[in-house]
Amino acid sequence: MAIISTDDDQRVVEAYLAISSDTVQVELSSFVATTLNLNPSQRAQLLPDPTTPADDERVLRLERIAAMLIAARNRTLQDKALIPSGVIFKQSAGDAGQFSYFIEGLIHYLSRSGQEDSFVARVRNKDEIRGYLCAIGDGVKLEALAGSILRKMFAAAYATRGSFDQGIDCFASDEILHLHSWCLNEEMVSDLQRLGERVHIIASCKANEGNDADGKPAILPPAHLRELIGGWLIQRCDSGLWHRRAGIKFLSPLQLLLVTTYRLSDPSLSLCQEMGVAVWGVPGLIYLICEYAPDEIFPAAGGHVFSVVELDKWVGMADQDRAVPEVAVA
Amino acid sequence: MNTTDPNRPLGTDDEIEPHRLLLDSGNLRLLEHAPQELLETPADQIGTSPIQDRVWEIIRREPRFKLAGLIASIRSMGFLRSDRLIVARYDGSKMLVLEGNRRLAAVKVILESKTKPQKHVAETLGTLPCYVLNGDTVSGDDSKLKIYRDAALQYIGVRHLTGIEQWEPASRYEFLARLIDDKHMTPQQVSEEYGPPLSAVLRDYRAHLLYRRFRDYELEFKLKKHRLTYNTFAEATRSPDIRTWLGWSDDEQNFVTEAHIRNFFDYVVKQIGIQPMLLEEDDQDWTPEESAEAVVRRYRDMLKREDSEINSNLEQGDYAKAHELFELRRAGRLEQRLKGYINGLTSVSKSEMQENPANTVKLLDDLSREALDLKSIIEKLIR
Repeated sequence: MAIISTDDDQRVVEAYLAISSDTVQVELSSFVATTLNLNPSQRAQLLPDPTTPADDERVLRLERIAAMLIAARNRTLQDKALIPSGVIFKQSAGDAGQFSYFIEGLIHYLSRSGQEDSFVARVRNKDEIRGYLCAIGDGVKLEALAGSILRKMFAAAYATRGSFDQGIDCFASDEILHLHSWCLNEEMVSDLQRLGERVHIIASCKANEGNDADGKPAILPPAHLRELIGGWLIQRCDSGLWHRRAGIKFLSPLQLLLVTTYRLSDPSLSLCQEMGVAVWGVPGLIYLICEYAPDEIFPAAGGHVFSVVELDKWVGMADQDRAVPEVAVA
Repeated sequence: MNTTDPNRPLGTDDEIEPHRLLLDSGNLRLLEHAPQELLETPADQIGTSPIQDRVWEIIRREPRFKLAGLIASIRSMGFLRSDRLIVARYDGSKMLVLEGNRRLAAVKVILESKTKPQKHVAETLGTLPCYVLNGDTVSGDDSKLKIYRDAALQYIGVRHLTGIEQWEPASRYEFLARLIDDKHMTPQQVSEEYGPPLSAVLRDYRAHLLYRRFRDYELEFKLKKHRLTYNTFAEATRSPDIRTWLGWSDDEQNFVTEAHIRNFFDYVVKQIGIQPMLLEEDDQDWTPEESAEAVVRRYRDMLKREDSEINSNLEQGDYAKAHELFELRRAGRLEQRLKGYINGLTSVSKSEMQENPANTVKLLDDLSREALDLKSIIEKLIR
């Protein structure tokens, strides 16, 4: 549905995708009116106000515009692996229970939503981080990056050494099912009693080799997915190399994780969903770096500006500490 | 492109969480209830919240979708696992419901309601049984969506055009009676679990009770072949006057005035000309003298007058007299009736007079005599 014409639709989409990260919250109808230079009479004729009944065609029109912008944001995320600078959301407007759509810059939205200032400052670097990730032409580096992030998230995590890894590039584990020692032990050793049960994450990393920093990532070849699933199956049987190193038991819960700078096609994503495979793509990795990277990578003194050198150092440390299957857990 | 075959749309069974299921804005149900723009929503926008919220709102608010009955039924019995939704892969995680949008909307209402469903119901709503059509994800491609919609038409057609063969009233009433009599469900519970309004459940159940009593009557009096259908008794129990006459008791959930029940059956049987088996010969060409429903309606109209004289004649089985009184009462007050007779006599043509003159003269004598008698009685009364 065009507002006035298909060109107008396109102008609204382009304006939305081009807004600054610091844009303050603005009601969608105002955003559309401003973008299309509508005078008050045109605006009243074409767009709703908070008192317009829900079944009025102007409300339907605005909903269609909101749907168009949401779809455009989705395309940017999925097809370009790019985090847009704007967000769109629905929230209550007025006392009568009406809802309106709003547009806001991502940074402004995160700040207003109670996120920590340092995290928000890191997110400002999203495009630079994306450039870094898309430029990784080396699967080994992506493995080390994934291992670094996993180490921040879990008590035990490693990238694995290159060959004979059975398709497992990183693994991590965490203890689960804790109980208190007063109900288990004859003496109080510690508050929590570990039962020794763990959940294991085994990851396969696929870098989009050959992509340039700004390019649109290629689609992940389906063979990579098959390899990942094969790796999981092997770890489930006696020939799995990581039983002893990672402490994977026959019935331990195993979560598969695909870390990739490729894009996943919808059928591949669907397969992952159906098989229970978690996926970290480029936008997800941008978030994880902002969340878990050490402060040196976003030095406060430097205004939290992303440091490629420091990120490489962090990744390099994980690269030095890769696990090999022959080493048994003590 | 890996697509489904519109002529032979195959798929696989799957269990899918409701939050992964999308309502289809191009759903045929929405025709005439949604603006054209919504029906023509591009494929890449169907999954967005503004479109999903709008479609859900329309299905929820539009009375024609009768969502309340379906919600009550699911709340009571849970989602029927045998009743699959037909879906297509929409994107990497969502499925588009091509057949079953009303059911999905009802499930969403229940899941979003503050009133949590009972445990046995909640267990059926964690995932919904789906038939996932083979083929690629739609992925915002309008042409792929069209292929899926075309393919789904085969299933939709069977369901909505060919449809499920509806039970005949006899089967429907018997089913109701089994729920109430054998499973000891209240009519209220039957209404909630299966969807029909309570008034319809009660009406059908009463018809069933009366019908069953009539079958006993048929056996007792060895009536010829079974002639009366459920419709006769549905017609009877729809009337508050007949229900009262037959002694409907809310406490006993039955008809209790045995004499009137027997009298009602006698009346209907006699009026439509059913005879006891022993007295009748082959009746291949038997046709009722009057439809049973029409007979029931006249019985209803007689009771409606609340005329003790008519009712008394009915009770005594003097139906001819009851009819006569009924016709008289229906014709109006005496003065009005007399004017009618006079009008009838003053507008007689010559040809009518010549039709059967001997008999006409005799009837006129009778009329004169009756008129004089009546006049004499009235004069005595007013003296």
